[in-house]
Amino acid sequence: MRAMTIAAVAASWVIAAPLTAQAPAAAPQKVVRYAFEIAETGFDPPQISDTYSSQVISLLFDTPLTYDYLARPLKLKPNLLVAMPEVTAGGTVYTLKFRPGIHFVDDPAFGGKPRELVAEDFAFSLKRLYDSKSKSPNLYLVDGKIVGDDLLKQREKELGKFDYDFPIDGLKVLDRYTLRITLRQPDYNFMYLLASTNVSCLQAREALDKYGADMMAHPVGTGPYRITFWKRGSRIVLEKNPGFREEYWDAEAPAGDKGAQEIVARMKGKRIPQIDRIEIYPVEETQPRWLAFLNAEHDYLDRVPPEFTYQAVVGDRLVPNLAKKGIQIDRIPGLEVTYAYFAMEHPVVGGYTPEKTALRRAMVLAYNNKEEIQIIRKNQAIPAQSPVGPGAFGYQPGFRTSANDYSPSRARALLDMYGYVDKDGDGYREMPDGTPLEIEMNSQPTQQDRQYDEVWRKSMEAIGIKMKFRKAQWPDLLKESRAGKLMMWRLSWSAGYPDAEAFYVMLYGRNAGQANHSRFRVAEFDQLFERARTLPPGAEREAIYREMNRIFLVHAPWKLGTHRIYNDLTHPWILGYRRHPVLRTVWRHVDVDAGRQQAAMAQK
Amino acid sequence: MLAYVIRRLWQMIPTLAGVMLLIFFLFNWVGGDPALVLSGKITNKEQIENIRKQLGVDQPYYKQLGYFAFEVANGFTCTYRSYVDADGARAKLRAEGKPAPCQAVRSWATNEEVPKILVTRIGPTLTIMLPVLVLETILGVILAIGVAYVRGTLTDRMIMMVCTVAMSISFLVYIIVAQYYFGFKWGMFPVQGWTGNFWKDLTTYAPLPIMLAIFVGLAPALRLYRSFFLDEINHDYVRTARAKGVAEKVVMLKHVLRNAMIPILTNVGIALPGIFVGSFLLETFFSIPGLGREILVAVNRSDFPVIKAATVYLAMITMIINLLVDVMYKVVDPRVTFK
Repeated sequence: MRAMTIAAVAASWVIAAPLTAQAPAAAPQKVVRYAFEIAETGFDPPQISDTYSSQVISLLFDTPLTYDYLARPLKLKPNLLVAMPEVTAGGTVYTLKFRPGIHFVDDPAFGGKPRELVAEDFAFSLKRLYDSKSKSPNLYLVDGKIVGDDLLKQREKELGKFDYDFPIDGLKVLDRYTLRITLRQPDYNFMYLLASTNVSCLQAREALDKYGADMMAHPVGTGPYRITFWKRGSRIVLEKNPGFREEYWDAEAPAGDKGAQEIVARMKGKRIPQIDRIEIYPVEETQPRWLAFLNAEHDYLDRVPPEFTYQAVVGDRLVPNLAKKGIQIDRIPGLEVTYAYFAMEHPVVGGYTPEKTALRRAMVLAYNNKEEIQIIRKNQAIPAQSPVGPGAFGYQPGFRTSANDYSPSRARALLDMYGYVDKDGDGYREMPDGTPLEIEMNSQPTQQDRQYDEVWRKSMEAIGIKMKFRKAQWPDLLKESRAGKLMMWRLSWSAGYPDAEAFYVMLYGRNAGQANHSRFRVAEFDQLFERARTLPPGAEREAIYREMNRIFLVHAPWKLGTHRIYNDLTHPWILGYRRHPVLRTVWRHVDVDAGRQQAAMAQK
Repeated sequence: MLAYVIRRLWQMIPTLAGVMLLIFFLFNWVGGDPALVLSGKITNKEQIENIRKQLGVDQPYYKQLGYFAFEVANGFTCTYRSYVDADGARAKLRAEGKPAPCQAVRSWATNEEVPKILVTRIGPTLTIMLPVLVLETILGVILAIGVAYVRGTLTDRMIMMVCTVAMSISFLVYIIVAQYYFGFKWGMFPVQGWTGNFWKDLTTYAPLPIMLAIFVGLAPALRLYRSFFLDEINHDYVRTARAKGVAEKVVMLKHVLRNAMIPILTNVGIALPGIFVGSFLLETFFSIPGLGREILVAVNRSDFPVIKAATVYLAMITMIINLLVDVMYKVVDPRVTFK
C-alpha cells in the first residue's frame, strides 16, 4: 500500500510538473511579479529602514509630499496635502494642510467605519518615531529637530510608557486638516523628510491600539494598495486598495528626454494605480532571480545581479538577444556612494598633520579605481569625485579633481617626500620614524570582498605599502567600527533624500562613531554643514557644499569609490517604468499590458 | 524497557542544559550587538541603551540565562518579562475584561512570534525533506542489496564508480546546473517558487529539489548500505542457509535484509533530525520558505531568539529521535535488550 502511495505521488509529479510549468496564467488582472534580493522584515514604518520592506510600505502608505515621477532635477510635489507646506519664520515653521476626504484602507481597527485622514494622524505618526517600543532606526532624521521632542522622551521615562496624548509645541494641530510643525532651528531639508517613507508615512492610532506589538504584520495606510497575503520571506501579495482616492497620472517629462515624453504621452490622465495586483517573492540567490525573469515567471528584475551583467548589458545597452524579445532596460546611477574610510584617530593612518595626510592621499592616488569598476563592477559604476551622489542637490556632474586620479607615480613621490621609504630593504615602506608600516583593511568573508581585497593589495604593493586583511562578519565590523577600533573598512551609503547634506552627515564631526565611521572632525567643515541646512536651496548653499568637498579632498579621510549604476529590466508588457532615485517603488505610476502578458504566458 | 525510556528522558535534561549554555555563551561572546544593528545608520547612546533594554540584553548574563531557561521551559510561548507582567500590560488587559495571554518570545528583527516562525517554516521543510529521506532510503536499500548481490561484477564496479564521481561534485553545482536545464532551458519545472498550497507545492515546486537531494544523497547511501549488506552476506548464517538449499530470494530479503537493517536504521536515525532543519541550499535556491533558510537569515541578522529556539528545538528532536531509534532496534532485532 505504501509503495503504491509513493508510486502515485511520483507519477503525479511526472504528469503534473510539465503541465503546471507550462500552464498559462489565467488571471485577467494586470499583475506584476518580481523578486526581492533580501527578505523583508515587516511593514510598520517607524520600525523599518531596510530597502525591501520600505518598498512595500511605499505602496501601502502615503506621505504628505512625494516626488514628481519623471521630473529631473528631482522635484517635490504635494501628495496628501492641498499645496506645498507653507514655510515661515526663516525655515523653522512648516504648516501642512491635508486634503479632506482621504481615507485609510478598511480595517477591523476602525470597527467597520470609514476613517478619514486628519492632521492629528501626522502628529501621531511623527511621535511614533520617538516611542522607544518602536526601536526606530529612523529617529535620527528628526531627533532633536522638533520643538519639545525631548519632552516626549522625558515623559516616557517618567511614565514608563509613551504618552501619545502629551502635547508638544513643535506639533500643533490647528484644525482638523492643518498641522503646524515648529523646528528648533531653520532646516530647509525638512521638506524632503515630508516625502520620506521612513519618516512620514501616515498611520492611524486605532491600528496601534488594536495591533500593538504586531504592527509589523498589520499595515493600515492610505496608499494605493493593501496587503492581501503575506508569508514573511516567501510571498507578499498586494492588491489595489478599493477605497483609494480618485487620482490621475501626472508627471513632468524633462525637455529632451524622449523616453520620459513617451511615458507621459502614454500615461497622462490615467487613473492611478493601474496595476491590480503586485506579487513579490524574496529570492536571495542571483541565478533563480535571473532565470525566473528570463522565464517570464517574473515581469521585472530589480537591478541585474552583477554575475549576469554581461548577459544583460553591453556597455550601456541591452544585449541584442534580450532586446529582440522586447525586454526593456532602465539605467540610472544610484543616489549613493561607496568608499573606504581611514580611521582619523588611528595612530598609523589617522591625524591631520602633513605626513599623515600625505600617507592617505598617496593611498588614494594609488588605488586603481578603474580596475574595480571594470572587474568587480563590470563597468556598471562611475568613479565618485565627491561624497555626494548623482542627482542630489550639491552634486557637480562635471567636477573632476586630480586628488582622485589614479597615479601611482605621484603617490610614490608623495610618500618619498614625507619619509615613508623602505629602510630595511624588504621591499615595503616603513613609517618616517622607521617603525613598520602595515595597513589593515577589514572586510567580510565573501567572494566579492575577496575581489576588493585583491585590488587593494595590488594597488598598494605597487607603491610599496604592505596590506593585511582582517575578516569578520558585518555586525561585528559595525560594532568595532562605531567603537573606532578599525583602521580601514569599505562601506556604501544610500541617501534618503536628494541633497548633499544626506551624504555629508557621514563626515559631520558630531556623527563620529555613528554614520561618521572615519571620525573625521574638522571644525570648519562642521560649521559649514550646520550653516548649509539653514539656507534654502540656492547658489549660497551650493557654494557651501563645494567648499565642504574641497575640505574633504584636502584631508582625504576616505578613498572615494563609485556611484553604482542600476540596470532594471522589464518585460515588454510593463509600460511606463522608470526607476526614481528616491521613491522606493514606482508601481503606482506604471501600467501593464495584460493582453500581451497573457499571450506571452500562453506561448510558454 | 519503560525504566530505560524514563532514564533516557531524564538524561535529556543535562544534555539540553549543555546545549543552552553553549548557544548562550557562543552568541554573547561571538555575536554582534543587536542594538547596533537595529538602531540604524545614525543613533546615539541613549537610543542604543533603549533598544538594549527593549531586547533585554541590558541585563546581567546570569539573568539573561535565567530568562532563556524560562523561555525554553515554556516552549518559547512566554517571556519572563511578560509572565511577571513587568510593564503591567496584562494587568491592564485584565482590568479591561480582555484576555491577557502571556507574550511569546519574538524575533528581534521582525517582531514575529518565534513559535509561529518555527511552526510555519516546518511544513515546507518537511514537504521537501520527508520524501527525500523516504525515497532515498527505499532506493538506497533496493539498489544496495542488488549491487551487493552482484559484487565484483562490472555492474557493481560501474555503479561504485558513478557513486564516487557523484559524491565528488558539490551539491551547489547540481543545483545550479539542474535549475538551469530542468527549470529554464527545458521548462520541465518552475525555476523556483512556493505557494503554501501543499498539493500544488508537492506536485509543482517540490519535485526538482527533491530529485536533486535524492540524486546527491543516494550515492553515499548506496555505498554505505552496500557495505552493510556485504558484511551480512559474508556471515556463516548466510552460507548455512544457502547450504540448506534456502532460495536466494529468501536468503537476501529475509535473512540478509533484516540483519542489515540495524546499521541502516542507525544511519537513518542520524539523518532524521536533519529533515526538520532542511537544506538551506535547496531552500534558498528554490525560494522554499523552510526552516533552513529561516535559520540562515536569522544568523545573518543576529536574530538571537530565532537562533536559540531553532537550536534548542533541533537538540530536543535529535534526542527524541535517538531514543526512538534505540527503541526501534528492539522491534527490528529481538535479540537487543535494554540495560
